Amino acid sequence: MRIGFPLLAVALLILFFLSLLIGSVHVPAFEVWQALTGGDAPSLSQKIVTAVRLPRAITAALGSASLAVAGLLMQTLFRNPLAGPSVLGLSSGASLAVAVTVMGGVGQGLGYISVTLAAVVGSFAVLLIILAVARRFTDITTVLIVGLMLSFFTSAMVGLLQSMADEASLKAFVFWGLGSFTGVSMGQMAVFAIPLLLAIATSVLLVKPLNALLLGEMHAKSMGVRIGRLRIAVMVVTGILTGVVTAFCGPVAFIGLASPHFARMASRTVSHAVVLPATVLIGATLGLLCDLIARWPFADTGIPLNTVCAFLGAPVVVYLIFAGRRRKWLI
Amino acid sequence: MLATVLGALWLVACGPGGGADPAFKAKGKVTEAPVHHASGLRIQKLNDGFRVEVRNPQDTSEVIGKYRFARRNSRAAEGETVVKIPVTNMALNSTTFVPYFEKLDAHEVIGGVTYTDRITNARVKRLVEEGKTLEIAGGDGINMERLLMVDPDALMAYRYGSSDFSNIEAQGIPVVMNMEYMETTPLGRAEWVKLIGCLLDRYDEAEALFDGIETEYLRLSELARSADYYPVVFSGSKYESKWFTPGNKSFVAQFIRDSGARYAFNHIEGQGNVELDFESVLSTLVKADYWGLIVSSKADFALSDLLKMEPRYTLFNSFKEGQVFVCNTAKSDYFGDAVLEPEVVLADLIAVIHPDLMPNHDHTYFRPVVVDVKS
Repeated sequence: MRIGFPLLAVALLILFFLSLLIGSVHVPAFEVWQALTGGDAPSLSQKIVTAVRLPRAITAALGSASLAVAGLLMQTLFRNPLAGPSVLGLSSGASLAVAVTVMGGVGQGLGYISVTLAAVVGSFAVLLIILAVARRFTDITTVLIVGLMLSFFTSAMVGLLQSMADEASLKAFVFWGLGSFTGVSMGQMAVFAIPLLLAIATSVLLVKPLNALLLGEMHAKSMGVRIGRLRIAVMVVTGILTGVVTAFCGPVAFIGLASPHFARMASRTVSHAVVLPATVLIGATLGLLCDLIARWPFADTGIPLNTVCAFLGAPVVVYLIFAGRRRKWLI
Repeated sequence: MLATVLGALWLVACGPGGGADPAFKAKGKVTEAPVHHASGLRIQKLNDGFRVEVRNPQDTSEVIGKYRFARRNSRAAEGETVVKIPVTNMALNSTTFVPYFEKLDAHEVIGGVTYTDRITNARVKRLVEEGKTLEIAGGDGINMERLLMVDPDALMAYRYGSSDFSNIEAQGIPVVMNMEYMETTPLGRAEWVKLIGCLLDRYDEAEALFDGIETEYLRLSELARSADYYPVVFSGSKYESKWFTPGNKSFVAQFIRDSGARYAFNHIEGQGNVELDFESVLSTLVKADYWGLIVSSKADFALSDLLKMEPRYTLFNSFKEGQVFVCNTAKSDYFGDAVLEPEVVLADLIAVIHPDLMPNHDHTYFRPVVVDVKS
């Protein structure tokens, strides 16, 4: 492996601590440390570190790692380097459900609970459609195309809702769409983290059959992999990862697509036993980096997360695909 | 069964005001404070403070918040948010709340407000420059770190979409909802000053301030009603193929009706801006007598500026006659101070529409446009 795991882990830790250190209010590094270790930090610093920055950093790291894993699973399943959590229409499904909630006036006043539920329900509804299609058609391209068309359809519905919405709800929806890691408080952390951790743990069990799948479906079948089951397992895991992250953070772009490419480049292998942990580490690191830039200290109100992700992600993906084609890092 | 019948009787007896709410029955001396115009606000004076109920002004069956403003530490009924009064440090999530404090000379209480760059009120602007009032806007709402730094006694907030304040409440900062922007009349919006009066524990002053506004506003609208002809007035402007206009339940429509005029879109249901197909409303726009609009321009606004927006405006009678009036937000604080000066706005409108009723009027917000195009 060209870039070692220890190096990645150190980078992750440094970025995590930077996330706790940098913000719109100055808190000295020593007080950040005190606040974390239960020391005698001033009450303002204590509150800022534990109630604002810590949940945000955990959300950025875990949420991005989850999207990265979802991206890796999709890329292997579809054997397509451009697959990502959004490609099956899961995040568009979540967007539509949130749009109906926020702009259609359903569940008004329920706050984050209604939005969260809507996003999970939306992405799972799309997932069910996709699974139904996948059962009827063995050809994976058909599933991909149905996912894409569902995306277009839901976008059109969202557009229709937007044209009819009042200014305030439109604003709320647009901001949700910009993505943000600030949506999870410490009190909600368990609801956010437990399903994600479980889904990531499940994906570890899929390493062997996924490796077999890389050699082609025929080959995998000959090795005893039950393709149909694997496909359903991968989709359910992806659905949970994408649905939960989108629910709390909005549709976060590019991290899910770019991280697996980084991971394959860094590890110079396509074996999931190496690429999966690398993807988790790189996803978390990228998420923290994007979030740090998003709350750039000189910009008072910050830059939208998805803007940062796209600026950083798009050129990187282009580079990786060119470089990867030459050097065979790609699947 | 008996309980249901009794309950129903109690509901009937109390009427639509929401009096059946058990939380509103308090021990000790309770007097209902008079609130006549703000449909979303209800105030009870208690021995040690106030009990306030905030509802959606356009759907008063929806309770948005119940508050107990207490001078001493006291137990609140279930579902009530307690705020210790008088507050000395407030955070506001809208600049539109600023004049409510400033008019009561309590601007120094504002420790933080969102979008400080939009504040035009001179006294509050100075506080921002001196760093006494902090910017708390961030991303899609409030910058939590800044808010914690302000460490306010309470956050005054308006609600949009599914905005959620549970994170803020979890940090021990009570959130008081102010729904003035959803009121349908200018007096209704201004009357919310009583809520600020309660928070500052200066209710009587707030009431006196509002009574002054109300008396003058009603006197002026009475004067306007005496006009012998009510011209037709419309508002709004064209954007692409749509005409954007305030609906009949907007405070703008109420202003027009109170200034001795007929609102051209009185049949269009709505509180905020409504978009109408330009072609289908063209005949209404062409025939109407007066046109009022909000603009933002460094120079004095003239008819020729309207032509730059849309050459077909020459079709309008109001344009041909030069009967167009504007409020230039670059020169007057229409979105701030004006909310607590509805009588000044009304006087401007009457002076434009019925000049004979208000001779020698000095315009503050709305004024006739500069006529520099010959029709």
